[in-house]
Amino acid sequence: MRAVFKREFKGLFHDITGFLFIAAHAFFVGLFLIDHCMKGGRSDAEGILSKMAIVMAVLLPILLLKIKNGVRKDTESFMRTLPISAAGEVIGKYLATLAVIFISVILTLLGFAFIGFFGDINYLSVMSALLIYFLFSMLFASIYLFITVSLKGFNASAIVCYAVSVVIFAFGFFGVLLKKVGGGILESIARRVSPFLRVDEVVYGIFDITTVAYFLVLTVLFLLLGIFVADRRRANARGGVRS
Amino acid sequence: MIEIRGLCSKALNIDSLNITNKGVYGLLGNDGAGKTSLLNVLCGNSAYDSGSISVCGHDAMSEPMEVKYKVGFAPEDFGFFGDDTIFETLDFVGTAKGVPSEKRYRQIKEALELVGLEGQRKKLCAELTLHEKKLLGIAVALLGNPEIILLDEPMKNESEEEKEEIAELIKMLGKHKTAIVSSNEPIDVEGFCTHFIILSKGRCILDSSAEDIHSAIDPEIKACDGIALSISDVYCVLTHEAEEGDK
Repeated sequence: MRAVFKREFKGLFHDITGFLFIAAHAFFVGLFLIDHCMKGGRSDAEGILSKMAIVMAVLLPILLLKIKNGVRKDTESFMRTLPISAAGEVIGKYLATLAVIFISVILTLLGFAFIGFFGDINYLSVMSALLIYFLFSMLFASIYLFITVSLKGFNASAIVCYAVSVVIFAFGFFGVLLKKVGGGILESIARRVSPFLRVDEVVYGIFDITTVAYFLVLTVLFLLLGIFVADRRRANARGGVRS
Repeated sequence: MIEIRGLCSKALNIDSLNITNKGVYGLLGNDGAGKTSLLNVLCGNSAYDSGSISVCGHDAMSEPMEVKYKVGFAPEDFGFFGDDTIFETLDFVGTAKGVPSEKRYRQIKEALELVGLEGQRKKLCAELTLHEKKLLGIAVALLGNPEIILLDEPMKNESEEEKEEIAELIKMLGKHKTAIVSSNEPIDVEGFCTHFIILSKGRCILDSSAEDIHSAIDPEIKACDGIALSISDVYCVLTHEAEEGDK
């Protein structure tokens, strides 16, 4: 796991991928902060995290697809000669992705601190919103990792990653629309299930511990699914199990 | 060290094979004889249908991870990560094998010196020649100080000079470790192997030390020539006999 983490994390900065991700993330944070806080005259910097959740959902596949792109059939056979378990491989890749996300989140926090020079910031709200934003990113990273591990082709992985993010976003959007026409049980379900709406709730001051549990449970679930798929693939490459 | 009993898989059918001593074992056989398949099951990379393989006391089927710590494997086509340097590749392998950092850097230095790549540690794997890839493969197999080294066709597609360089390297390894070297050209390995294992269609048709190998052949054939037969001659006769027997 440590070896995979080290290799993948370094690999993300071998070319511009890691830098591009952090720069694009920082750019949107700056852009939204200017729009929300500077132009809007507000100090609730965490308000931008609803929009940033969409940005994160769009940017994250770049990292996972870069990691996938480094894996070819022959490098897979190289990995199989080493004592690295399927779980170690999947979790190593996941942690490398999380490390880059963490850098971006820290930069976001610095951006918020900068806004603090111009107005009062409620750091408790900021930290809780950033925590949920990080958990949201963890969930999407695990979903995308599961997709890239499951699918063989690079293009297919890219298409499915973005298709899934659109479906998840549409589900949340559907919930917002339902609220406008009176809500009901469907709106309540959408609000509970959509990760985007979960982030919205926290950003607007409703911090619920079930939201933390929701993100953690789903993240672990998708990670386990990814490990299961990677393990099955290895077993197939190894020639199955003894009958 | 290695104990095979009743091994049966798609490509292999070996009743019994024991490797107990240090030295260089030449694993010979024509294309499709099962050499790569045998190396793959020995390092826990491939599964098998029945039988048992014990490698340093670990079952290759149920404990492949433990086996991988004990065995260094250099496959014929090593797919290194092209954007990693030689040093990064070795560091990755050393970390994966759980070697602590101080020991790891020492082992990397020693392995690079041994294979003669110490001056190219910053070279990208994508830029390596086939020979350099084979040398790096051997360096990779050495990390973690495994008891057994498996080298799949290290001489294939190499020039005579390169073959000599690799032969010297393997000879040196055989003094301290058990090295199993596969080849379908006996002439490439006969100069440095202390033992020979010959496979034909997945079956082991000879398992003998270099000194004893001549006795494995029919004395009448020996008498015909009246001169000492080389390993290549023995190999040709035995594989021919095995193929005739199958017909």
